[in-house]
Amino acid sequence: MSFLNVIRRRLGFLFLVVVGVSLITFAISHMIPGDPARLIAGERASDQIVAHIRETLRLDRPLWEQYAHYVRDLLHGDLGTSIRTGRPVSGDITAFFPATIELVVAALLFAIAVGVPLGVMSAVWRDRPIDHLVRTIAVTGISTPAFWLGLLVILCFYGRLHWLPGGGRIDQMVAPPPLITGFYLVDALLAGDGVAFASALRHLILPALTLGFVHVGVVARQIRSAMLDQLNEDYVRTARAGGLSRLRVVLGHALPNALIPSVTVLGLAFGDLLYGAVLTETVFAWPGMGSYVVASIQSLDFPAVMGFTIVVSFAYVFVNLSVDLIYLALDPRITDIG
Amino acid sequence: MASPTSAPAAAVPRAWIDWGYLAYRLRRSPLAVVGLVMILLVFLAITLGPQFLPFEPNMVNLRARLAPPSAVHWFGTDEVGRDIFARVLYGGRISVSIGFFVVFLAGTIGTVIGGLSGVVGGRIDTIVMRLMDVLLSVPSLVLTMALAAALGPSLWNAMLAIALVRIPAYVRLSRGQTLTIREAAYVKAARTFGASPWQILRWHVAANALPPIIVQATLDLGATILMAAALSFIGLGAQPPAAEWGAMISVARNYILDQWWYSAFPGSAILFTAIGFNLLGDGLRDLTDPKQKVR
Repeated sequence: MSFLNVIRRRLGFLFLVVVGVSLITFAISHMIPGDPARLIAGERASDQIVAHIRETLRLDRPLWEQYAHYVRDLLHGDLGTSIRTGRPVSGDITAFFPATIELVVAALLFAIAVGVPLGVMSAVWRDRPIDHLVRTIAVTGISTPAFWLGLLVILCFYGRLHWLPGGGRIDQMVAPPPLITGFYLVDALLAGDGVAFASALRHLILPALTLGFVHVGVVARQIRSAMLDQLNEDYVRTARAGGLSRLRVVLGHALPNALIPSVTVLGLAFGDLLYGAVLTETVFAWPGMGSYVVASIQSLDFPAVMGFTIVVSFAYVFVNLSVDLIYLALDPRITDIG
Repeated sequence: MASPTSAPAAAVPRAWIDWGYLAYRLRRSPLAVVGLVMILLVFLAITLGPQFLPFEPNMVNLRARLAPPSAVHWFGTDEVGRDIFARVLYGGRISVSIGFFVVFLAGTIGTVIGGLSGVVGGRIDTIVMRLMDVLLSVPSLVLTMALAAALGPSLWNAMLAIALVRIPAYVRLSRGQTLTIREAAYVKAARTFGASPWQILRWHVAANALPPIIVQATLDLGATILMAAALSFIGLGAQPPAAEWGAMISVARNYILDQWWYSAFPGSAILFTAIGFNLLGDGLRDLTDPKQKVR
């Protein structure tokens, strides 16, 4: 089993997912109670207009034909037109995507920066107080309603302490950096705009901490388990017997090996963060895809909701594919990952 | 495996779960016991609690609007003077019922589909499992949101949406279990002695497939309660006047800076309940999975 084989098999699965998700979203958008043409035209539109909309949207055609057109449009990158904004859904999503990715990456970095050391300590001092503390943090993380944590964080750091802003992506008084990548931090750096960079960074901290907190425990737990495996290996004992310090063996030998199997979990975490961002963005008025989709849901804007579902599902599968390939590249002993 | 004694007990009908052994193991897993105690506390509070309260969850008292926690109103009051403690207790009834209903629905349907798929095998099995792989590869919150939005915002629809999305996990689990158990030596032995497929299903498959499914269900209870609250928070589940935890927080959000107690208590209730189920689920997993004992 080689790299190419894995790619081929995974691409086959990606194709299945494309078909599956498109079928699901197609089915869901046909489950909506009421007449979508009437919904788009509005309450007071004449029957003639409604009939015209029905015709342009091909709602009068048989279902299979509608699905065929739907898939053809999808393949052309056409996700339909948002009822709420009146713009193409693909354009809307492209505009909101960078904000979400910026948040997710920041949250993931936070989860790794805190989770990896916690996991290592937990494994090294197994069954000691620090281990119990880390496991408690892990369970608390996955049990915390992220939207509620966001509210508490706003109350504390914005409402009481006035340390950080409580919402938005950049200060209203600060001009956003010129659009290059869509990531404010990157764009501000490229433009050499220190004020915008500082403001964007300050706005990013609270939402990223909130979103990342849930995954600190996930990362810590994974690292702990992988580290325990490594610490039981012969090479660790040999290295210790050969006179290397414990610190050196743990950080220099065991940790790099423990990180390899953890890559998969980090990939999954990235996917989870991507849709976990929906709630965090809502709470922090973060202008990303999550806020967009929640506003769309509230105004029954189905093309937008379905477009979002498709894009996020593909991103999810794609990230997992990339992570598996990285995994394969990191560990030459692994030849099959199913 | 429920216990090490389950394997040799070939054709003798026995209890599905060895309670005595479970109690013995539980004593060695303090976190699971903590989880169990937390869950029992939640159950006590939401079943008996409201009996002792002088307030109804929807009793409006405009003279006591947004009052901070006090001896009378333990958790304070909301924007129309309703007692938040009473609403949190009643909300717990809703949230915990949602959890059990959803997990029961998804667990039953998923287990049956998975078991059948594993027994039937062949092309049907392949198709079912590919379908489940596709469903599992779609982020669950996104799919749940899309479904709940399409069905229309109501608590009932949110529950259906959560249940639908949770089914594939059980299908996979129960299929895997069925395949393993079907090939086990004691099942073959029972078949040699003339046990019918139904008897094998009841005595062996059910007994041995159930523990991991119960573990999954316990962990799912916490996740489901969180998911239901999240849906209500973004307006897809229970609608605001209802005393549901997520719906309460979605209103409380408007008062976050000045009336901290309004969102703090319903949220703590979600956190407490979810931690309870997760600790219990983790503990049960350690008990039922012999491989994890070392950890």
